[in-house]
Amino acid sequence: MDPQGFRQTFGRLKAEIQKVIVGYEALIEEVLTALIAGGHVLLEGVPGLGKTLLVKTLAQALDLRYSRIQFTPDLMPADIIGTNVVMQDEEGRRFFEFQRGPIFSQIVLADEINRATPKTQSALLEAMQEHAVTAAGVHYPLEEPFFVLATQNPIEMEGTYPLPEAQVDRFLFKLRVPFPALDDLVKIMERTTGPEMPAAQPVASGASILAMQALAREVAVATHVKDYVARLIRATHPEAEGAASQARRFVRYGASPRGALALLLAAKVRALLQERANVSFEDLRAVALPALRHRVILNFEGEAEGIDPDDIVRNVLEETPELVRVRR
Amino acid sequence: MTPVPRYALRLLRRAARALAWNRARLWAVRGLTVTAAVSTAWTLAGAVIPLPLPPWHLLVAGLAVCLLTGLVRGLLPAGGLLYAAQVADVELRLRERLSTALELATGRLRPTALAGEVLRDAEARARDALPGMRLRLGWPSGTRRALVAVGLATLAAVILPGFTLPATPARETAVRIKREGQRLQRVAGNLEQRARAERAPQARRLAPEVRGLAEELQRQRLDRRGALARIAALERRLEAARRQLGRRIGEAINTQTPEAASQSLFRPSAALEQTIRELRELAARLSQVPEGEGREDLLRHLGELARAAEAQMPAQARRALEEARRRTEAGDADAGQRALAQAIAEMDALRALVADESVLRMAEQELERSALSIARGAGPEPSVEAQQGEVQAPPPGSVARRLPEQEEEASIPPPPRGPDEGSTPGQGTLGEKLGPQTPRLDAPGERSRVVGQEGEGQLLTTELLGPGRRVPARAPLVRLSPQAVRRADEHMAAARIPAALREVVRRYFLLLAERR
Repeated sequence: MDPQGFRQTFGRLKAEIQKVIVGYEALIEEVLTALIAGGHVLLEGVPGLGKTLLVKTLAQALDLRYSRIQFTPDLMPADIIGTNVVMQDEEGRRFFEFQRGPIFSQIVLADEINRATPKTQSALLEAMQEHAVTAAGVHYPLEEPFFVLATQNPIEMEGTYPLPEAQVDRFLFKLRVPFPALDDLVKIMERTTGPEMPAAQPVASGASILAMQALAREVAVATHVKDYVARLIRATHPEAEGAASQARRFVRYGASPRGALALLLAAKVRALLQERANVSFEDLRAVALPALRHRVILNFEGEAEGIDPDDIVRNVLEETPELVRVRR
Repeated sequence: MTPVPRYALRLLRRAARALAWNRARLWAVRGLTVTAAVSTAWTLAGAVIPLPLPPWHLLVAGLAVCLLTGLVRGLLPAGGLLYAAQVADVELRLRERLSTALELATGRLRPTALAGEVLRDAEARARDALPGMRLRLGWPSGTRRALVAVGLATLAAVILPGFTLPATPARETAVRIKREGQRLQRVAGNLEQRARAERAPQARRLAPEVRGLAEELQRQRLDRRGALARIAALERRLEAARRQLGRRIGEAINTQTPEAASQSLFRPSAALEQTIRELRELAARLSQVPEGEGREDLLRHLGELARAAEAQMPAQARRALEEARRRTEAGDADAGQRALAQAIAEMDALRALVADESVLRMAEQELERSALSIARGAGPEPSVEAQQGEVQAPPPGSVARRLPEQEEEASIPPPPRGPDEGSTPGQGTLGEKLGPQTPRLDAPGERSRVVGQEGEGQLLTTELLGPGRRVPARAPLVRLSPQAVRRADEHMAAARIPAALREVVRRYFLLLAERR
């Protein structure tokens, strides 16, 4: 695949999803960016905003196997991964056979992930990290591309198990699903209350997604741009030299090295979409919020003051110079 | 490694050149700030201690150095294409295309499948950006601060010099300058008085300048260096005038013999006065005793006078005196009297010149004393005796304050004792060369000058004490090689010779040269 084909495929996917999903153009772009960067997405928004529909539509447009897991407090890891069951053959001999769980798909919707217990959450998160599961000592690789979209409700905290920081870190992006604008709301009503429900058609295959992922990794990154990424990450750490002022005050733990990878991979995808074969500072700034907002852990003061991690990331971007050698 | 695309390279070189000038401006601005700070500190220090250099000299020199350094830095070959690429990317909004392409081309980045795409993209963008390309680097951030600092330093250098804090060396020096101004004003008054009394036209012309300098020293807030410079300027003028007078005196005397010339160097004005008085007395006697034994005595007296005053008498006066003696001897008393009157007139003119020179020398010495006093700066005031010119030996064990030149002289080791000491090596010790001391005349001092207007009142004639016994010089006069003369000239130019003695030393060497 060449950059031209990359952009065309991306455009087709986006257009196909937009046939079903009204508005959310930036959100769709970010979801697709995470998919091509090879990461997973945590969608955060109140119920009824179309998160599930977005994921289903994506699966339809991609012609990939899709499964949905509704996380509940009684959900067990085996319900996600699968389990060995006793089977009997024609001759009456019994044996164990691994019954694959819903994780064995290419696009997995983990709905309301914060409602399951940490044990179950970690079963999913392990699969997200390794792209494989292990059951009864047997290693089962997951089919590529493997893409998990988890949703959580930020308001309802009763009976939930918030994801631990180490597990949140495994999501490439944390995307906030906003309430639709007035015009978009009207269009949603028009589309969904009519006699025919719009449906997306497959426009890209799993192979083309893999090719896009490979091409994105070929995007060149200049040394000083990598240096900027490293300085951005360090600036989120309160104790680090060059830390941003708000990070020093309100942050308990800054972004991990995985944050730097997420930032750079997403920026590479964006560079290709911007008709460039190199990453620029602008790309990094554009993907910094979704890539870093869930990796900045606020301290007590930050929580008490109601500080939004997005403000911390913006402050980091403001206070970190692009070229440290430029002196005027 | 692949070559950097043509347009991209051209753009990078242009950007590197712009950066070099920007760096030059940065250097200049930093230099200006430092210069302004140093100059201001120097100016403020001037309120406490006397400064050897005016603040504005320092400021101007610093500014010149900063601008020169900036210029040189700007003209030096610009390096660092990578940094230029990074800056050009930011300034021309090229989205890091140039720097990435450069790193790929130079092998700093591992080549990827999209490397060719990056290079092509960078080349295309560079071609579009090159026409009218201008990096808006602007002036360094501290420029305004530096200009304000330079402005303040300039103001300080103009306004503050002369302000001194109480009880500091600078204040003591300022007080000393004012005191010397007052002293020079008195000297100027004396100078005018003497110039009038002794009919010294040059001295009369230059006396107002001495007074002007004295007023300037008292009125203006002068620092030590400024005061010394003004004194030195006037000293030079006085010296030039005195040298001119010396030349005229030399021409008038027109000496033939070196002995006579060496005596004439010291201008024994008192002896000159005595000769004139004796000539007048002779002229009076010539009109009264024209015949007989009296005339013989008069002729003998005339002859003795002509011989004795040969070295300090103008040639025309000598001729007139000879003419007077011859005419008187021939019996023509009237013609002899006329010739004698002419000789007296010539001698009067010479006396006026000598008096003029003497007054100027006195003024020069006073200026030098003022200069020395100001140069000495803070410290105890010299005693009244020292101010009157009497040098007092420092008490044993005390360390006298010396000028730097004096320190240098003191550091020169004394000549070796024994036969090689003195000016004639191998001929005994210094004591032997000098011979026995001349006897000192143990007599009370007498006033050598009569107060009042010349030509009015009663003529007063007193016996004057002559110099000590004349003894032949022990150091033989020898021909000097041109090399020695040249070295003497060099030493004359380099060594510090008191103003009052410069002319004497110069003429001494000139006479030596004439003898060669």
